[in-house]
Amino acid sequence: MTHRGLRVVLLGILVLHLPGQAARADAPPIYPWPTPSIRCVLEACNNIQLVDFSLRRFDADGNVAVGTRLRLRDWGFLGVEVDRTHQTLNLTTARWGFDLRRDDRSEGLGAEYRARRLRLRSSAQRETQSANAGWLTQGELALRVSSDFELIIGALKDDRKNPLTADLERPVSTASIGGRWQPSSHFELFAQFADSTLETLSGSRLDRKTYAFDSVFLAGAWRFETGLEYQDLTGRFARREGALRLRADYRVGGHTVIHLAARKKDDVNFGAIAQEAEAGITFFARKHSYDRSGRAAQSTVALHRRAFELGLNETRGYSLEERRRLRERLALSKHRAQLAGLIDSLYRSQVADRNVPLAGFTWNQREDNLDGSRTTTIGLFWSIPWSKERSLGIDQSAVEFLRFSIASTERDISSGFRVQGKRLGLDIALNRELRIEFAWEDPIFTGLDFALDRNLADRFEVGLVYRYGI
Amino acid sequence: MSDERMTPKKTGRRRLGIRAPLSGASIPDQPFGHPSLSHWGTQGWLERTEFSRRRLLSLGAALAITGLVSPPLLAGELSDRQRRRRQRRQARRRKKRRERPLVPRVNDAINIQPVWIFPGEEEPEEIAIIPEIVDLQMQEIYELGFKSIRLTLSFDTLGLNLLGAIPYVRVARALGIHVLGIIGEFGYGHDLARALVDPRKREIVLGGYMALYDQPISPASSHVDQSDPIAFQILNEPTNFLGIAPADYVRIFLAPTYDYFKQLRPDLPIVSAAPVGQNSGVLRARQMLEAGLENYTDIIAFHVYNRESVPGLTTLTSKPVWITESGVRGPDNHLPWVLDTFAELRNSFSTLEQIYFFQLFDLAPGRFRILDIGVREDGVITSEVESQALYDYWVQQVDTARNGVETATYKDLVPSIEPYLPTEADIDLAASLIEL
Repeated sequence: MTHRGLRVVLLGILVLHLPGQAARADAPPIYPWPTPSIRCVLEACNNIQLVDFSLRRFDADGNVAVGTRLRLRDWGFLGVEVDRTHQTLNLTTARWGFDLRRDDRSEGLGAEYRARRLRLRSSAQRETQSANAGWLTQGELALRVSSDFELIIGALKDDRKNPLTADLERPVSTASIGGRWQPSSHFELFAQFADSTLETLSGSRLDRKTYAFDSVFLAGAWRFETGLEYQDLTGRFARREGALRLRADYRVGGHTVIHLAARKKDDVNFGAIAQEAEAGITFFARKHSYDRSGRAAQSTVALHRRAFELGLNETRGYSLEERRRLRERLALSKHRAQLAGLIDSLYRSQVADRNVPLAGFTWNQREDNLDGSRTTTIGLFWSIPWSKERSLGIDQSAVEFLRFSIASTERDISSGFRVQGKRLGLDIALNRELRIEFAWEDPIFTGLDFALDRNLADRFEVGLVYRYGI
Repeated sequence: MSDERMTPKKTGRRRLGIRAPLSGASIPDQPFGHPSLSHWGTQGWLERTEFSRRRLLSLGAALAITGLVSPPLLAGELSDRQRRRRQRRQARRRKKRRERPLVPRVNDAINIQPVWIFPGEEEPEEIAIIPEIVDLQMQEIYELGFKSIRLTLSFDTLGLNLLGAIPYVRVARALGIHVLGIIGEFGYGHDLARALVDPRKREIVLGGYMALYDQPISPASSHVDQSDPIAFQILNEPTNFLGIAPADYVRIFLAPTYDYFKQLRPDLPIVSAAPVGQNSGVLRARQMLEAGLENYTDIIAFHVYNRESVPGLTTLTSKPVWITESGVRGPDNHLPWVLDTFAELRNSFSTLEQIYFFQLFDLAPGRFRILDIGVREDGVITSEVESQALYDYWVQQVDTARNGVETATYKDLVPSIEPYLPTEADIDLAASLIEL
């Protein structure tokens, strides 16, 4: 389907959804596949509780990926992910976390410990096929000064010789210091300084100083995200680079969100390295709520601050996955009984705040001056929600059910070549926790694919995903 | 330039299979680049070439029949004795003229295009060489005192383009003009790139290039210095024309090509591809060097089309540097560009050895070219200087260096282009490449 065709389909979707029904008061959600509205978060309903399961199959190479995670009473979580080339094992307790990873090129292990104020995380990785193996080691020490501010110190050391997976510029040592300030759910600021030594593929060394600032803030119907990074590199390939990232979301009338985003990375003296622009619009069946506003955001902050008062050092995040992680970890702590009300409140409020998209349209264009490509993607989706009223329009009782998506991509590879590809998707949400996903996509060739005469096949993927308590 | 020299020998060209230009009084405006030179798709390797062995061989037969010969002597007009005496006299005069010193090589280097098709024409079925254009361009190169030329030894349609560059290269080498040949494709195709990453095809194709272009050529004069072998540049602006990222170019395409040539002939100079001559070229050049470019080339190439990019290139490498393209749009800007920018380049790069002006002739008027070459309705090929100030500057440089000494003319040294045209062996070799 061409971009023009997509626009026609979008218009049709808009017409279908315009005369939506009047909003109704909040009601407990009803799903096509029933599930308890309150999930067991404080202790295992059984000795062993399945909390994550995913099964995906990719027909292009016949690869099957399986992931599962179990809660072992109130002691911890044990997870395993396996596919043809990757294996991961992880174990999480109230204070500790461990993981082992292995793929066809490398293997690694990691550990994490959380004290009342300190959080220490370290990992080590090496290549299994390299003659001079060596290790890539990383460490992070986070000091929680208050419930809203965390000081983070990081270090990296890479003594691998000619690693197979090396980037053009590989940090061989890094020291960094930064801080994250989260005074409210409406505002967050992150700042970091890093001093690195880089090694290029040709063996040259560079010193790089990086200054980075990220922020998120909400103001009324607006939500802004900004990112600014400045790098000063000295050595043989000395240069100065800057990257700017901006995203603005604006809610119109409670059920429509428009977003604009731009990213640009420049060499200060020689112009753009890469740039990206995006615009989109999404219509929602229920009244829309940003992840950092509404009851769920307030519950997240309240739970996090209370946990800090009890001596628990947790990371605060606002996505569904981050909230689930916070609830899961606090449910392992010795203070779980004191936190039970807040944990339960957070889950209820995020269910109540759920966003149910009806239709959306996105335009995205990326230009990469290094490989000379320009990629334009136009995507749209159309959802059929599940509701008591069997409504296709605005309905406060709606939950996600079916979602059809299509994306068309055009890539200008060089002066004389353009390639096109499509992606079609169908997601079926049987309930909040159980989904079936289908995706079919054309390969989008790169210039290197052409030059190497690669025969890339269409890709079909089917997956079953279960996430308890999401 | 006399009309006589540019008057085509119509019947001879047809019988030769050497392509005659089609009718057309003027050359329409064309976008910059390689207009109409080729436009192949991206299907399988060499599958779509229509240039068959039969056609190549028909050209060989035609070449064997005759050539662009000197005007025939009129039988019966002179006695045999008189004719022999006259021939001896002419040979002595020719030898004497040939032994005059060469035009001094005081101007640096220039790009040329082995043009074989004009806009609006259909692609010819037989070999695409227009001898008058070869003669015309090479005469200008010689008489303007250039040390070196750069041209594409294009692979995409094999016989047509690959053989089409042969007379330029051989005439230049006979005259002692250094040649930088681009192993590349005019038509934005990927045949050559695919051959370079396939060990079997790489060996055959690069061996073919060596056989076609690295042959010994008889010097046109005893003053000719042929000590420099041809240099090969591996692809041209690979990101711009092929969409190959800079680091991929170095590691996947250049490295095996360099290794192959060095095993075959260690003293053959290999020149890396240059990125585009704008600011983004600085970013790409940096990536190529970070990926280890210096390990896989003898000479680093850059293109310079804006002066802002120069500071970004000068500090990147300590290896020998050639600026293999540099020019500016608009004939009025050509001379200031050569005087100012070339001087800046020489002052900025400590290891700069050559600057190739872009370019002697192409099909886009009023932009980069020095000459306009066209074909009249009666088939006569004409040329006109479009960038007069720069042309006069180069002439003056030569005249100053000549210092009144009479030098051999191009026609003294290359009375006929026939010996420099592709031979049957060349055609057989090209045919064998087609059968890969």
